[in-house]
Amino acid sequence: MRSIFSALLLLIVAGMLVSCDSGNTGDFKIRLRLPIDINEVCSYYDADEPDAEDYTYCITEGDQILLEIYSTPDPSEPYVFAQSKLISVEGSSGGKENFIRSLKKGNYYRFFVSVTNANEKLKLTGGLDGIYYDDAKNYSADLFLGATADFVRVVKDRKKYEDTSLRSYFDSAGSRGSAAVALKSGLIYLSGGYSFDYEAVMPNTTVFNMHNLTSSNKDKLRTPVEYHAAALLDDGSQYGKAIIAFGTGDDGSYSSSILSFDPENGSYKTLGTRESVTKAKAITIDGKVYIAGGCNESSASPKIYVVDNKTAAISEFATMTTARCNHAIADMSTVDESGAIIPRILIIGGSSDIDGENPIVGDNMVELAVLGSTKNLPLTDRKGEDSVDLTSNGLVSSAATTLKVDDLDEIQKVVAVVGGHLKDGSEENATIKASKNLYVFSEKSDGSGLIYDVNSAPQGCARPSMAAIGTTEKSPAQYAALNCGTEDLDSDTKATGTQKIFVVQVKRSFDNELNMNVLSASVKESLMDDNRDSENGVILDGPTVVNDIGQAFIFGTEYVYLVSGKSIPY
Amino acid sequence: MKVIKNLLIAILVISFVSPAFAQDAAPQGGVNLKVGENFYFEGDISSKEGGDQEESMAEIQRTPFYKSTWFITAISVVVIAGAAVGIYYGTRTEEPEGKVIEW
Repeated sequence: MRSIFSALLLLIVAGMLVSCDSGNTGDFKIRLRLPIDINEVCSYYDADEPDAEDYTYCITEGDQILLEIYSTPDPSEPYVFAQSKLISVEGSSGGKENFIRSLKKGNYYRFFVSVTNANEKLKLTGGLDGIYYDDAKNYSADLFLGATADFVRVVKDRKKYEDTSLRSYFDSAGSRGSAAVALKSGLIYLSGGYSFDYEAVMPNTTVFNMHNLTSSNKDKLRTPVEYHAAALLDDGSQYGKAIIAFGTGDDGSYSSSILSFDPENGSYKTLGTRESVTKAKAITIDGKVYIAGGCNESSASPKIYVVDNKTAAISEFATMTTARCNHAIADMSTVDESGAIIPRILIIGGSSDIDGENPIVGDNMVELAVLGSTKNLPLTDRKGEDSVDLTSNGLVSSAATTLKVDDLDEIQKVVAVVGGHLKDGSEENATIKASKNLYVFSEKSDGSGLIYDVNSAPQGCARPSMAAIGTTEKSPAQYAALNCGTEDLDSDTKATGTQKIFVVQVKRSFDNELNMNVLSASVKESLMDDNRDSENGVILDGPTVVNDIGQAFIFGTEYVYLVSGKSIPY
Repeated sequence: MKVIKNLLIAILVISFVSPAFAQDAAPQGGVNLKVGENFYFEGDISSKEGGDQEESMAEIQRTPFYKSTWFITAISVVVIAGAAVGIYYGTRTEEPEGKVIEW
């Protein structure tokens, strides 16, 4: 009897110890997830022949993993660098390392991982932020690493990629006119767009969580829309809000609504109504959302609205000189002496009609909007001419993004403008074709106009989307993820075959003919065959967004693609 | 903490095993009778030869194999080793790992 009591007592004590142990002490595990390795070259890595294959998608012996840790006590405040850990990889079949002694309770953390090979080539990067740490809990997070300045499909488990690829609500063919927003703290928002499988404009909303590489369906849009404008409203909350404006309904009607989507509760709230238009553009500057233009069947809007990030109130920011839709916009903001951001929005091309048949040309093609006013900006090449007839032909549905060129002492903001379509030829013989030109716009030093440098791309992109990815300080080149989509001008039928994803590289180079520095743009070939995911369907007009960590997400048909930056933007 | 926990669990396992070992140990050197018990030989001893008588006594006094020292020792070793391995692997994932990065 005594021994039974002893055993029971010991059983209770042991049970208490085990239960205490399982709930303990704020352990934190980061699991690095790698891109699909279709040919399984990673498993055949031979340290004696490190160049036998391209091991970009692998972490192998001789690699170095750099983990950078940033923290902030408040997600509305900037992250501050806390610590880094450099890990030398000893084997090629995985590993585990303790990365920090302690994390501070109640802080939010950002982790950024970069992997370099033995030749110090940066091959993989990835990051997560918005990770709240409480030392009473155990945490684990998936951190997906993408190929640097290249695109890969986002998967949770590369060995089971068919089952674990991050998927949207599109099936084999989409995602024309859908809109995405890179929310804060690792969430990505996607809504609406046209599905060629369902032959309908979709009302769906999906939020992708990059902490655990999952997606979840949220409240549907009040009416299905495509070609709606969307951007992040940084209201100081952990995830921010997605602002959705206007768009085309399934019945061909045009939405007048400006909505706010709250990822905390997964629901929409109407902030207000304005003109019923579609194909407007939205951009985030200093936390606020600016919505410019839009068209309906009979007219175009010249209005630029701003949604305040503190009050969510909608007000007029400026009125464009020329009403338009199908345009591109870019952030050309400056900072005044007090450090306050002065919003300046560059409006590029577009058309006065929905179908893009009447492009905005001449001096009206490009204008700059500031609070309360806009002005046309003359646009010429370096010789003061228009050598490629850019302003006379116009440019409809191009993509634009701002790049910070900092290879010299002075940082220069330039705008890369890619793709779109234009009328070519004389009026009676005019044809509409996709642009193969890569432009870099830079402001004249006296602010009197813009200069363009132009290069050629291997193929046209009829309706692309683009976002700048993160680069290191003083980088010799800047990069942008480009969802080229298709060269096909017809967006009403299911296109096949030409969908591509590129990375655009912009760098300063010396032009012997002009005897001066110019900004040259080129497209970088992907490791993916033919710059496309052969297992995907058709990528048509899918959006591209970039998060705070400088990583771009591209939406194709059903899959989500990541273009990894080289570092966190500074 | 980990060492104490494993030690306690090991003691727990031994405490289950050791009473059976102590109470059911095979008697050494003959048959012990408790007070009030009778012990009978079957058959007619006088009708058998001397060698047969000794063999019959040996059969009756032989310890069952499951009560033999060697068997209990072997089983105890297997049980304790199994328990130790089970405890190690069973509790390993729940042990504090700290802040780790895994690839």
